[in-house]
Amino acid sequence: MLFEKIQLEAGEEVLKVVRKHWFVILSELFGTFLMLLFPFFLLVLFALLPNEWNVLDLHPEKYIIFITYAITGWLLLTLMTAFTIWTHYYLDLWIVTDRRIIVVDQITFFNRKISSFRLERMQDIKVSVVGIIATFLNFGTLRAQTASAAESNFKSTGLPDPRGLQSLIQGAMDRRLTSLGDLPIAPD
Amino acid sequence: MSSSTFTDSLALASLPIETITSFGFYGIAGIFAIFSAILYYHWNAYSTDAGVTRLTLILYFSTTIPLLIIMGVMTWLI
Repeated sequence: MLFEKIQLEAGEEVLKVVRKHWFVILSELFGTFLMLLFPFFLLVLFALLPNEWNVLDLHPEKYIIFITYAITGWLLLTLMTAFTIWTHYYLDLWIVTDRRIIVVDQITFFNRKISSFRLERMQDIKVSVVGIIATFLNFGTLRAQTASAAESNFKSTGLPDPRGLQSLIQGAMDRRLTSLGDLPIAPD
Repeated sequence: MSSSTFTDSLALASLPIETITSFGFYGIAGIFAIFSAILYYHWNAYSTDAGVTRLTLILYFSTTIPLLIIMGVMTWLI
């Protein structure tokens, strides 16, 4: 499993595991749902064709074995596509701990990027929520800037409750800096 | 046009339709086997929840294997 591979430090506590918003996966899976329906739509179309238009004499009942063969092949490939989308969605995640942020970016099956950013090096976190759907469903983009090279800046789109996540990270950053002695402890 | 004329016209470069469908089936079965191995590895190696992994793999194999069997039977019938 993933946590064994990441190897959290001794005493490191996972605060939150974040995946993209459900709307992101739903909109991606909608395309495969339409693909699933496509052969049945064609069948209905052929069945409804007037006889004089049916110049190839394509009557589904005559080629039932071929049609079943083609449809099962199509459905199989479509289901494989749907499971690929689901896998990329589920394995693409942010792990916020009390010491760092681990960003796992599952781009394709053989292109996987794991980045780790220490909270004490974090400088700026920006949130943007753009569009009607994103506003109503509360998801957006989170950009974070670190004190190291520009390539270390990271960005993730379609994150649920980005403001909540921003405040969680900022709170964890403050606690981390306090524990390291960089920040004075605020009086009660 | 009779049904045999239509199926004959599907035969590309004078290959019999049975050969084409057999190649199609073996091709898809090969892709399925490789894809399943990759999927199985990724879920076992990178998932954060064993329950979700189990559910995903059960759902995957229970939906795809029957389709592959049906396709194999249709290939045999053709």
